[in-house]
Amino acid sequence: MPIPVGGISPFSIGPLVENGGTSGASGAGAKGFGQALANSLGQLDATQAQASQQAQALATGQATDASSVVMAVEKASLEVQLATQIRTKATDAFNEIMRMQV
Amino acid sequence: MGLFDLTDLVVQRGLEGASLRQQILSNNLANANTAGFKRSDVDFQSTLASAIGSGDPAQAIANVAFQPQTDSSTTMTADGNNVDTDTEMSNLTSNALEYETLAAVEQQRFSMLKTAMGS
Amino acid sequence: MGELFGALGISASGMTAERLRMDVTSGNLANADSTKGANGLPYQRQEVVLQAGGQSFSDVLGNAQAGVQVAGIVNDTSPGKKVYDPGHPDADAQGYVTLPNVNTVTEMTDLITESRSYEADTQAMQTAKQLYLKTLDLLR
Repeated sequence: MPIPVGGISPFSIGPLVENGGTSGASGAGAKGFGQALANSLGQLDATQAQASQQAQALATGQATDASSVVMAVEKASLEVQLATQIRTKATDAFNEIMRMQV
Repeated sequence: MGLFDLTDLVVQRGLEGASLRQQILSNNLANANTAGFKRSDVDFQSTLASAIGSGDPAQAIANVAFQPQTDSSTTMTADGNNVDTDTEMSNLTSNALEYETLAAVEQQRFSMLKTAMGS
Repeated sequence: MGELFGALGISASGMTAERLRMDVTSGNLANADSTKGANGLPYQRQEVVLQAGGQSFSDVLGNAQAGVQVAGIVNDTSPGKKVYDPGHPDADAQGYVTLPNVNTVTEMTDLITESRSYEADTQAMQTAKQLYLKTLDLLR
């Protein structure tokens, strides 16, 4: 399921595009990409923790409304999907680069 | 390294607690007209909260035991029965919603795992 | 999930009990004016005695959630009203007729309660079934 790269603002896909575009040298570009990847994974971790917290609150009867639980879990799910897509694309790009070197 | 963390265990125990509560509330309803019958209930949420807040949450949650309590405090009819059908139906509905939400959360978590594993 | 299956049986026992009560109440209403039954006496109101399930045999699991069961159907021995009606075929030597001890209003109220309880048990059973099916969804 392809995710449009430019259009998702709540997630950290913005820095990905910026860093890739503004630097010409492959070294600086790679660093920017690596940083963006690390950022998005860090945010994933926080969202996951939030979703777990909400799920536990639900089980202990402390969740004030179902919508906050559902939203937290859904956000975490979307972030996982995004991270997975980034991983897949990064792996594909890497493999392609490896193939190009003669 | 296991696939499932503490939260999954908490949600699972939550489902078990809600399932037990469903049975207890159904029993209250079935005995709504039995002379002398006293209603029961189980506060699985508080029990879980205590387990999570304890010194060893993983152990406490894994071994948690829900205790149904007989409620002798509410008002009774002349024959001693203290079941109010409307209250029980309301409890039943909220318990069912809790169960369904927990199940939906668990389903989403499974789904995330599958995505992360690349399927 | 044993508890969800258990819940089905519990609600079913409730439904059975309420159906029986409704039958008995209907019988009382139908005989509210039967001043002479098969035994020559006025009709005696009947009532169903309920008890919490699992009491007439030892419950091996120690599980107190066992629904409801019918302990028996008993006659209400309270005396019926006596009215003065010398022209009535069942009047006694003093001209009084003993009516059945059935109060129509009470029976109708009972019928409403029994019907509501039956509905509630049905809904409880539906809910248990719904939760079980929701659990199966986790496999998807």
